[in-house]
Amino acid sequence: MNKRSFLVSLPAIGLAPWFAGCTDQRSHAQAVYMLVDTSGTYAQEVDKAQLIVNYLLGSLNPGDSFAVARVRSRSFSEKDIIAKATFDNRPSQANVQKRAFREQVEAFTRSARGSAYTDITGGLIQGAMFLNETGAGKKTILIFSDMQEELDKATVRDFPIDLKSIRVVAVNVVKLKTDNIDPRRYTSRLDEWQKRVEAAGASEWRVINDIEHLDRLLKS
Amino acid sequence: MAKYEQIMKKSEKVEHQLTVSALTQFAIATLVIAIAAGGALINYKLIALPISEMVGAGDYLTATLRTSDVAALVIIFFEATMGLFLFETLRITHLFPRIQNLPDSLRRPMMWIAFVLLTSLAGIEAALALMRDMMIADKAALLQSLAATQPHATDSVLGRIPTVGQMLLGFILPFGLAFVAIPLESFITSARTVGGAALVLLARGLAFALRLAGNLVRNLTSVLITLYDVVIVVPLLIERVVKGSKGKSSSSHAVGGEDLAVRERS
Repeated sequence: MNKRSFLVSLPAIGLAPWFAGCTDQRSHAQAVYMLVDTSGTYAQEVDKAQLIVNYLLGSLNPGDSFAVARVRSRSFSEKDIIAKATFDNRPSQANVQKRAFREQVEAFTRSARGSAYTDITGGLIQGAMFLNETGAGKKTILIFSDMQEELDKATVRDFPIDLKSIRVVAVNVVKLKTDNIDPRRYTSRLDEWQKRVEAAGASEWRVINDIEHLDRLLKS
Repeated sequence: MAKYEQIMKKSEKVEHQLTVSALTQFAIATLVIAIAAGGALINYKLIALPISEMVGAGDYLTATLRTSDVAALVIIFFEATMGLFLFETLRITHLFPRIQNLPDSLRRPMMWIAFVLLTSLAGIEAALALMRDMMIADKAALLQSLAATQPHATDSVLGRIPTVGQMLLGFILPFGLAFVAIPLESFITSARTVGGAALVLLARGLAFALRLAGNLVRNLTSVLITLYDVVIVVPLLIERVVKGSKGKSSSSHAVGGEDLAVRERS
């Protein structure tokens, strides 16, 4: 809180009885659900995911929620959540939780194995359910993937999904070998995801390939 | 005595002298209160973070105002109030006549209560300042571990100086705030005179502005009337000429008609 906020809050003291009955009921908490793709060649990128997790742990505040889940052949399952936490309102306890969270994710990155297929949609549905349960004011799904969805024949994902009021951000969308041959494949893949996510009611769709730009995303 | 007589006579000279005196008091009191507000801001900075450990960092009163920030401010204002009561019971200030009129048997315990509360709050603030330092160190350690960088080796004595400094500040500032009672009294007593003088000045300024505006409007209207006369003279002349020519033609036509009637009768 800066000097301006200090001065602004002075009249608030005088209005304390009024505030007692009219406190701000909106949630100011932020909830982030991060999907980490572990399929095929993208499994090599998992170390970068650890950097993003660390960055987010440093940026999130007490009261915020954070979960990291892997994207596998079928990802619509609680079992795929590697670590999740709603940080305590007390900053010291929140720091303890963050340390434990980091260790859980580190253990995962050390033992991560590649999967045969990539079920991003299942992960999105699971993420939306988690975020809606938190009741946070700002909800974000980070997809750490090449955004190339590959499903086995038995898995059904071709139905409309609900991502209402959720921001969806694709992070570190690496180019595949086929993208290098024809770059239009890369852009059309991202365009298709954008259409799908926006049709699902997402508040925003973004692609961030430079991790440093995540800072602006969390502040906005 | 001569001055008193002049005061009773309400002479302008004495009135001016008294106003100037009140203005000086007001300026000095304002300056001291502003300095104390700076101290309160530092005090607030010292305790806002550790207070969030008690009341939670995620609760908000308004969109931007955290409950912990308000709680920190409440503590600071409470300290200032205790200081006010302490100085009042010490009969240094005279803001509350009821406290002034209390018998010593009641006033003394009240003074000690205010002093003990103020000292307790100062002790709490010192502890909060220590807690703040620990929390910042913990946060820094967490960020370092997340960034996977080696923690900086700090000299133990050098590292403790800011901690001790913060604790001392946390303990001293509440007592410093307590002394605000003295300039506050001067501020309140002089504010009445200064406020009155300011109101008089405002009324005079307003009267001047209104008079100026009235004169401007009056002169402007006479200019407008003159301008209208200048402009309207041409259409009026044309109207007169047109009416004059019409009048002539209609009168000649009327004469011709009379001739015809005479001829018919004959």
